[in-house]
Amino acid sequence: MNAIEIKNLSWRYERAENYAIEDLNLIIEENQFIGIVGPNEAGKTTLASAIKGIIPSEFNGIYKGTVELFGKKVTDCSTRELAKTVGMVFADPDSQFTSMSVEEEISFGLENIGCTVEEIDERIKWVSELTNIEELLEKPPYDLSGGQKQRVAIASIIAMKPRIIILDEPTSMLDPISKDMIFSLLQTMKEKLKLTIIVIEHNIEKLVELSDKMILVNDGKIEKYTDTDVFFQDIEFLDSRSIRIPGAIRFMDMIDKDKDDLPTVHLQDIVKTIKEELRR
Amino acid sequence: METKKIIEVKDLVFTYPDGTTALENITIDFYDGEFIAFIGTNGCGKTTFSKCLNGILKASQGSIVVNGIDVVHTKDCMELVKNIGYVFQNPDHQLFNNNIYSEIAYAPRNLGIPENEVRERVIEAAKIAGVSESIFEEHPFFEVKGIRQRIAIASILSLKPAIIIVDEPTTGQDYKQSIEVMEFLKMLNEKLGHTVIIITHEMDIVAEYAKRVIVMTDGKIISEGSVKEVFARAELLEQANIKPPQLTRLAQELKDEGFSPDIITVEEIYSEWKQIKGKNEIAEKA
Amino acid sequence: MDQTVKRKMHRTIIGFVPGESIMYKLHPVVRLSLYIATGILPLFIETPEISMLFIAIILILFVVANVNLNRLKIFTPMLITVGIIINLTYIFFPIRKEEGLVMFSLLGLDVNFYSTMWAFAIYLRIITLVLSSVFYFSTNRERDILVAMRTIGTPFVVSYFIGLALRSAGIFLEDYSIIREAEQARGLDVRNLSFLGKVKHFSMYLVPLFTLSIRKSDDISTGLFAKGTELTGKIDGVKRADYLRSKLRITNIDKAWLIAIILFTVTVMVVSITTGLLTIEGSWIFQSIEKYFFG
Repeated sequence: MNAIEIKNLSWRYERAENYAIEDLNLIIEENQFIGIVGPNEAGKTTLASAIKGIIPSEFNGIYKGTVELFGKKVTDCSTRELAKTVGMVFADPDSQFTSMSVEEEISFGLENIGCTVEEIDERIKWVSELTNIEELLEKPPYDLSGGQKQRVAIASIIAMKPRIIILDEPTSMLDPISKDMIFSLLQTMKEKLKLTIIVIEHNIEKLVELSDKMILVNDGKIEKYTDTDVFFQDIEFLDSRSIRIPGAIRFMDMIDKDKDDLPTVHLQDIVKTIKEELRR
Repeated sequence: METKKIIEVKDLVFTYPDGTTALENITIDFYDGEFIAFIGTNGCGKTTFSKCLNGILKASQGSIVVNGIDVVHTKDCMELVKNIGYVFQNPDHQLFNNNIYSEIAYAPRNLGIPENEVRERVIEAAKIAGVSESIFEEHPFFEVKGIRQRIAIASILSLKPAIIIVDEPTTGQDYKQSIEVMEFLKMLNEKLGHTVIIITHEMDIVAEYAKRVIVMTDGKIISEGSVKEVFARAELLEQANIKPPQLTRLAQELKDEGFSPDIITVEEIYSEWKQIKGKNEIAEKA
Repeated sequence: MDQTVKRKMHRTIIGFVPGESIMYKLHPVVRLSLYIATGILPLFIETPEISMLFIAIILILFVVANVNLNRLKIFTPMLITVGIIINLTYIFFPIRKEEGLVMFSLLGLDVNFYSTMWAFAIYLRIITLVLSSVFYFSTNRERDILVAMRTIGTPFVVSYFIGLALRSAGIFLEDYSIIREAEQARGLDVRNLSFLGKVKHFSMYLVPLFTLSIRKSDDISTGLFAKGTELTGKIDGVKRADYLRSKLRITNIDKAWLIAIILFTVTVMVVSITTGLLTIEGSWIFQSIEKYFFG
């Protein structure tokens, strides 16, 4: 089943001169891990907001085309329905932290979608263990670091168990190993709960390891939407779009004479290929 | 290399009012003209440490001497800001004047510098930071984020500080913007001789631009040295929740094949690859 | 990864609360009623010695609750100023003029006995009020205040907006402190500014503060939308779950305390209204001074 189906979507913010997204089409199947890359201001966040329904409900502007989630138009969904279907984590962890403690922050969304107290209790236990925030539960937001707030933001969305999770630069303030932890958590969630996960990130190295498919957004359009290995077939093109190529992939590109094969992109596969290559 | 010590830190301790110790017995020297990166976990004390260096936070114990000034005890914060400038992560926190010119002129005016010299400094700082003179009369808040960050840096440069500390220069920036800001800091360091300290989580940025790396965890410095030295110590880095850049990790995984564990650039790994491959081929023929 | 060290204190928007305190054993609603009681009672007590006893009790509460008494130091200048103002007010605008019990003359002004005694009694009441407020906010975090409010029946929407307002205040103050640091990094030494300079200077902060607030409030509203926020106390016709309240149940000990506090408060009120025991005239201090000056 298609989790997301976007048809001829155009969106222009009120007072903006140009369309932020123009005539965009996209189908994302259920239970996929999708990485979105592209320069800032290219329309990545706008695209994510359209999937979540923030556009058009929270912003004024010109909206054309349709966005459907599991076959239902976002514009026909209530706020609560949307919250149950799509969870979105934003880049700035401060402005999405609206309560006086971590615990309330997680329970707030759950109360909104109509969970009972017992259910809330269970989910808080479950999610705080997963995201390693058990010790923070009673803390107020101004007693947390940026990285801790980002983990809380992710936890509070995961707790709602939406079918689609969108993360817009969710780990910009986390150190490398905490980043790993979040990404492997997303991976497990995708596999166990059959979620569809969409991540916008500048840290391409991490995306490559987990994404089934990658999307390049540039200038309000989708310029590339392919399987992750195919995505790195044309490195010159990605370079021309100022996309950072992970060092290991670039190295593989330099030693791989036979450019027609699909490139190896995962670090462990690269290690294996190089070892084999040296033995040959 | 005979360079001047520019910052001397001895037995520095910092305790927050709620009783948590953020820094424990830090002793380290920094030299004139270095490009230094502070790395470590969230909450490891790197930001606190950098704020102690320029006196925004007052150290609880120990001493910090910057260019001959005793930071912990000095009452003359003017003298201190002339030597050490601090650029905050979010430019919106440091822009509060009505137009860009007075924004950049703000700090030198605070120092009581005569207006004609202020003007010279503003023009120079704006030029270095790439802020066009044509927007001097505009309000800084309406510029895009990249420009706001440049204005924030220019407003520190007009102080002509010997040392510049930049907190997370690349967070939230795309690849192109990150390169731009880092190239700019590199220029300040190499061409203009500023000592630059960055605080960051981006190991690729550290590998490419820093010359010396300070690894912190739980308020202590657990490792320091050149980029290659530090990234080669993978186990130690793990304690600080840090992973070396991807290429270094690749080389470390291929250690048994003969790759060096301190590789940081594609060129390095490629040339080692050619060597090893060549050796293997000779061995096979023999 | 995170610091596991037990903190001595927790932060709140306006200061700190102790890391551990016997007060935390009480349900927030008991603590709120204690605050209300300590806030109302002084109004029924005129007698200075009883007011002083009351102050002593609150100070003992500070110690029992493990609150750092150093925090009280910042209130000293305020208490002195208030004392001076109240005394001056009563010297210039004495009550019971006609009775004219003048203790002594100061620079040609008659210092009236009743007025001075009244000034003193009122001053003590103000100290009590200040101390009990400081006590409440030094032992309750924002979430405790919200729980207490919801327990006494404040509608969800109201407590939600109060919570959001507190959160915004927190963001505002955080931004404010970063802006101050950033200014300091650019050579501003507030100590060198005159009072007028400081006021003018503060207005400069407002520009970034409000711009940041506006930028963030957009983000906050989309963030709330993302969480499916609906401002109603009912969801699908069922009463909205209240997780926080459910975690903090009112125990029998809490009930006992509540009853004790209410009974005590009512008793004091009744005694005060029906008998002359708590009036200023009944005071031993009042009578001794009266005897000393006027025989």
